Amino acid sequence: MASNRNDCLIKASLLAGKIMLENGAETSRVEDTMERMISKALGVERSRETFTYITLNGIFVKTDMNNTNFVRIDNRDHNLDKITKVNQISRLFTEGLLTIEEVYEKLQEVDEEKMGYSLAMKFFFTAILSGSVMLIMNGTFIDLPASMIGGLICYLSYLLAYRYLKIPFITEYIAAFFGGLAAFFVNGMVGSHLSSVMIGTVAPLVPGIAITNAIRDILAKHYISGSIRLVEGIFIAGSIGTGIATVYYIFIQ
Amino acid sequence: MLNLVFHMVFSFLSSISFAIICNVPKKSIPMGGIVGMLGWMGYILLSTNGYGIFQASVVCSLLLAFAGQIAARIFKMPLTVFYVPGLVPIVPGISAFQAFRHLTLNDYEAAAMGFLNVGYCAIGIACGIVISDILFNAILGIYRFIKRKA
Repeated sequence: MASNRNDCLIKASLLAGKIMLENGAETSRVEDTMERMISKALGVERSRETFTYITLNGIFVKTDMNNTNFVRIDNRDHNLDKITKVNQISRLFTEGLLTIEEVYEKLQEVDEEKMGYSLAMKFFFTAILSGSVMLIMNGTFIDLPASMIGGLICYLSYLLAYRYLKIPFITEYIAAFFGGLAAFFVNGMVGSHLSSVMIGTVAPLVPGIAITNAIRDILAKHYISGSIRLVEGIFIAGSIGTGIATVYYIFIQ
Repeated sequence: MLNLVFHMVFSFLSSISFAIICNVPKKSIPMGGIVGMLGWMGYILLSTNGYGIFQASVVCSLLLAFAGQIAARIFKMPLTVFYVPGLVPIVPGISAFQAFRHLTLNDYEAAAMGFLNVGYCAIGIACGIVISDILFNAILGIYRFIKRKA
């Protein structure tokens, strides 16, 4: 019975870590959550016998000499809602309101859930995001149509490229290119500040979560995850910049 | 004054729309918008009054992280939920993209300046997070101390 419970603990903590890492939590938070769960369940503090080791691509857990396991993380996305739910479940567990079996069931539910806002709502708010970022970056109201349409096309082509290509960085490049193209043509008809419009256009793609998490990971001494995320963020920014620069090359120079 | 209201409204809008793109929980959306608005107000007030990008991003990140910590305590949600949406306009991604654009257009001077700014901005954000962590923990410690005494 005891070993059964231990298995369940390992599975539950690995699943919690997997959900959090896949959806864009910082590594230190994942480690903190998992260690809280384990030390609550076993009744011991972190020691040589129980620990977790987390990088961006894999999670290792060890609860005692014989029980070790790991999972591999392949896809990463941004879904802060799932992180919040896992956080609440682990909080309930550390307060003693849930058993480890219930935690595992709930985590499986969260993992399989297709959460998030509807696509139409996301498109609507993409347009608002592009427009408002353009406005606070020295744009004027006459540039609104260009940046909104550019942002929409950018996000749409990002989703399509993400779905059918699955090549990192090329997806961002394609999205920025088509978004920039649309923004350039609309801006040619109505509009004035092309550079503000371009900033607004790529706002939905900006690697905000990647760079923030990179900084926070480095501050929490997770140097490997932090530098991987930093490199990822820099490459994404580079591919977005190159995509927009391609538009400039073709039409302006 | 009108300019400030304009910035408030549109930074609020940009924060809530980025929050929705990142799938934050519904309950946290308005608070995330307010936190993002605070951060951007700090940034724009400093950068229009002659301070450099480093000071502006320190203050912005400090405000964001501090307000986010308080909101995270109240709503019992992770700090990221409140912090990330507000960071969109100042995140180094936008300036990094501009720097890369200058680089690919052979404008090396502007590109070098852009990359320096990206570095300063990133370091500034990190400093802001650290300062707010220290401040918040200190205040929490004092609060708990007083509560225990009373």
